[in-house]
Amino acid sequence: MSTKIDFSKMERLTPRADSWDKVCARLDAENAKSKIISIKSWYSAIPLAASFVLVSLTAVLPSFTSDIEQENSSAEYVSINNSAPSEVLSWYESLGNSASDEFETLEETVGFSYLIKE
Amino acid sequence: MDEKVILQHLKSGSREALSLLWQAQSANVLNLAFRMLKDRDEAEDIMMDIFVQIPKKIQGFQGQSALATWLYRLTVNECLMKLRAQKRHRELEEEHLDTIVEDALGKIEGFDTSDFDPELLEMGLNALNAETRSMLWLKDAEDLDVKDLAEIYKMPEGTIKARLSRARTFVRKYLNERKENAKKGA
Repeated sequence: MSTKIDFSKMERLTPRADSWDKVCARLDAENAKSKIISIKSWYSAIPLAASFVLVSLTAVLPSFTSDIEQENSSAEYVSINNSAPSEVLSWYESLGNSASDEFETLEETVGFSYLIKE
Repeated sequence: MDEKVILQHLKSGSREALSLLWQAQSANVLNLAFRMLKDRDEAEDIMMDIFVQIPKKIQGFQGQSALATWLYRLTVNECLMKLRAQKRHRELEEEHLDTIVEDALGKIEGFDTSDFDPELLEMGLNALNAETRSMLWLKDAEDLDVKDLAEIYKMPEGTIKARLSRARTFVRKYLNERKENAKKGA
């Protein structure tokens, strides 16, 4: 364009010799800084995660222990139907059905052997 | 290396690609910043700031304009921010410039500026405000298109053309006045 201003005689600057090195140093420093920040954020995440685990454990553990207790109690329970002889069972079932205490009618040896067995 | 390839490498954080961009564009960025700030040290600082920011800012660059245009826009914005922060933007108001230009229009349009002392030309350029000065520098010294300038300054092409025309006329008038004064003095 003919109307252009001619700037060709004006001094044209060139970057100083150490400018690129300074840029690189600043970039390295920024990279190192961002790494430190990510480590810091990681460290702050650890207590957060630990507290989350603790809270969830306190919520979940009671249900586990109740299951275990139930299993234990079911394991320890021995039904009288499985272990007692028929005489004891019939005596046991008839308890409270009559006015007289029929304990005396239970043969002593049978009752005694049951107690020993237990 | 192709600009698209450089852009890809820059986005992946390649220092080598940044080095190539530095070799190709650092002087242009420095000269533009110097034209705007009128201070060599501040211009160097701006140039380094911009190249340090590139690895982050390039992630948002979609490649719709040339890499150089994008860099010029970063430079202009950084310089304007610096000028505003320093409150050093005490230069000729656009209205004042318009008045001068209207007086001078037509008479000095074809005035030859090539036989002028570069220092005097620099003084004439420095009499413009920073934005117009950078615009004129990019158009006449760096040979950018009006389209690129419209992209850099986010202005319509017509506005850019008008401001360039006014700025050229102002600089020519400034030089002419100094020449006349020198003749009278001699």
